[in-house]
Amino acid sequence: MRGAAILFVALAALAATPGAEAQAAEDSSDANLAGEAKISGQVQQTASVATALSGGTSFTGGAATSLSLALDARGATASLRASLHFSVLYGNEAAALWATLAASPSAGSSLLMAPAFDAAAAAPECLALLALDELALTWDIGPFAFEAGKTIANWGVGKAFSPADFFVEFDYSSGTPSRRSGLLARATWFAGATSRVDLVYAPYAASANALAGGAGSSAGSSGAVPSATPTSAIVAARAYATAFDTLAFALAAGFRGAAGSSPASLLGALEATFDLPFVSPYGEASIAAALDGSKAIAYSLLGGGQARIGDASLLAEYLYSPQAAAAHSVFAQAGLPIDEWISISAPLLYYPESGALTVAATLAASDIAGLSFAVTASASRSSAQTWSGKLALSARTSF
Amino acid sequence: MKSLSHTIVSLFATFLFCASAAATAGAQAMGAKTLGASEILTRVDANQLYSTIYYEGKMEIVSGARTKVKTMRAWAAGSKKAFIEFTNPEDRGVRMLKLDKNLWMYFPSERDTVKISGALLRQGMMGSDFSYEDAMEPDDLKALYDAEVVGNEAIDGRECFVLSLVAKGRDVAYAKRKIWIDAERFIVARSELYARSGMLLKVSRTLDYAKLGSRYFPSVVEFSDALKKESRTVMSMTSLKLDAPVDEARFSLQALTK
Repeated sequence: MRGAAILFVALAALAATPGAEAQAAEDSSDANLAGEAKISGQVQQTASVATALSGGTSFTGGAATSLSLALDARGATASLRASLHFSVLYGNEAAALWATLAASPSAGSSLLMAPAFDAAAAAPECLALLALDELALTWDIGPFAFEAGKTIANWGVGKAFSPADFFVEFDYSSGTPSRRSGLLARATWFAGATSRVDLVYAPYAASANALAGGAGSSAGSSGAVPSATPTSAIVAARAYATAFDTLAFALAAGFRGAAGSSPASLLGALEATFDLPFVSPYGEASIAAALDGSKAIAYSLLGGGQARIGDASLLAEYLYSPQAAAAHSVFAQAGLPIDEWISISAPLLYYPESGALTVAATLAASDIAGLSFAVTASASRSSAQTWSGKLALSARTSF
Repeated sequence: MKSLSHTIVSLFATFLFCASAAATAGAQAMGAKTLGASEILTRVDANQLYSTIYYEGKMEIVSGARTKVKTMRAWAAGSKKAFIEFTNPEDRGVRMLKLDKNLWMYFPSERDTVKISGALLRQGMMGSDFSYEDAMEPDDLKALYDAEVVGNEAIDGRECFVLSLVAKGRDVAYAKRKIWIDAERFIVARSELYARSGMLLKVSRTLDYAKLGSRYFPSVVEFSDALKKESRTVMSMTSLKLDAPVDEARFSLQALTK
């Protein structure tokens, strides 16, 4: 219901935005961008088979049908982005979503779900859900921009972990990490063409992120580091700039409210990316200091890099968060395009202390007869050292 | 989360423009046969002058019998500022911003702005035969290369000067170039880009032109990676507008995420 209310307010505000035609007349080449709305979408069908690999095999099947719709509406000074998806999941696909929700209740962005999620109940054989992925209204006034809704702050430079992004919660369930959207309000001052200052307020941020960079928030269906994360309000500012054509950096500071047994804290972070000829190293560092002095200052360090060898691209990240549930976290990904249509990628997510591991290989073919296909084989080892495997085939079309 | 040069002058806008750079006055060909390399490049450069450009583009990526089509809108100011927004369904909303030597991409589904740097610059841009590094290449050939006229050849029935260019320094993507310049229109009809070892890396050809006023402007350019078999990218431009006002704010991180 909260999502529906936000959508109504956002549409009303966009409709009321003045000045689109006037500005278009001043800038003829920009006319095509003023006052337009587009709806795009995707239909995806996935079928999968999963099995335990430890102590014998026991195969289960699953399928998922998903329709995703996105609206991108722009006026001269305001824009609205909204995206949602409707999915019907069967068998192990339903079970995987159920497990994700059990591990991270904040992952539930669904407007409607049938049956309703119940952590105490076993996963249903079939479930349907309508989920709001993004709903954000943006106003641009000169060098300032204001945004509110369900969206992504996208601070930090990490791809799988990001301690400098106080608001992030990663979703590792697909094998390739992605950021989950959350409710937030943002004011941005574009101080220059390549610099910006953000002030973000998130009333329901997953509080673990500020300490652990999101590493412990959810490992999706792999069961690597499941933990429920209480939410708290976070307000923080971040300044981003570039220097010498080779360095992009940002500084952030903020305040996180108390959550559960965790006291209110002051937050600080630094992030940097270096542009070197053959490798692009990057790093983040963050601290959280309890205001009541009841806890030692928590810190997280992230180091990573991207490199290219021939046609292959490589990415590796290591997160050290001594106060988090997982002190050490590793993510690596290799990608190799066979040609413009077919590519192979192989992500790996590893928590050394628990031994939890997820490794996958995906063969993807895009834009063939209007369809994109992917075959993914993955293997996971839980913290209980039991192995499981999954083979998934998906087909997708965009419109 | 996110792949033209002298020719690509502001990404694609720039590429098309430079790869077969527009000639303002075909009549200038009179006496051209006696011109030296520097004068020829000066005429080419003069023909390339525009304050801004806007176009709607279609990029056909061909590999063997398969073709992938991407569509886009692009704005550029000079050769140092460019902004592209992809409009085909698969990439809708993906945007690119070039500011001098810096390149950013915006991916709407992740709401992610990525600075393309280092190793990633050699990657094919959006699956094409253009690399990000190509896009970052400066456009001032006279400043970067020592040029000499090495002959005359006909390209598609049109007389061309053949120029050999050798890089003055190491801070360029291609150590050597060979370019064919239309002797009447003073546009680049063909270009070959070489590594320091002499290996042919990329070839561009201007396939068609649009006449805008007194100016011939390339409207279809083919770019191929010599290291890939049966691979080429054809870039076509429509709705071309030259020197139309473009808001300076277009070329900023703010526009990228707007």
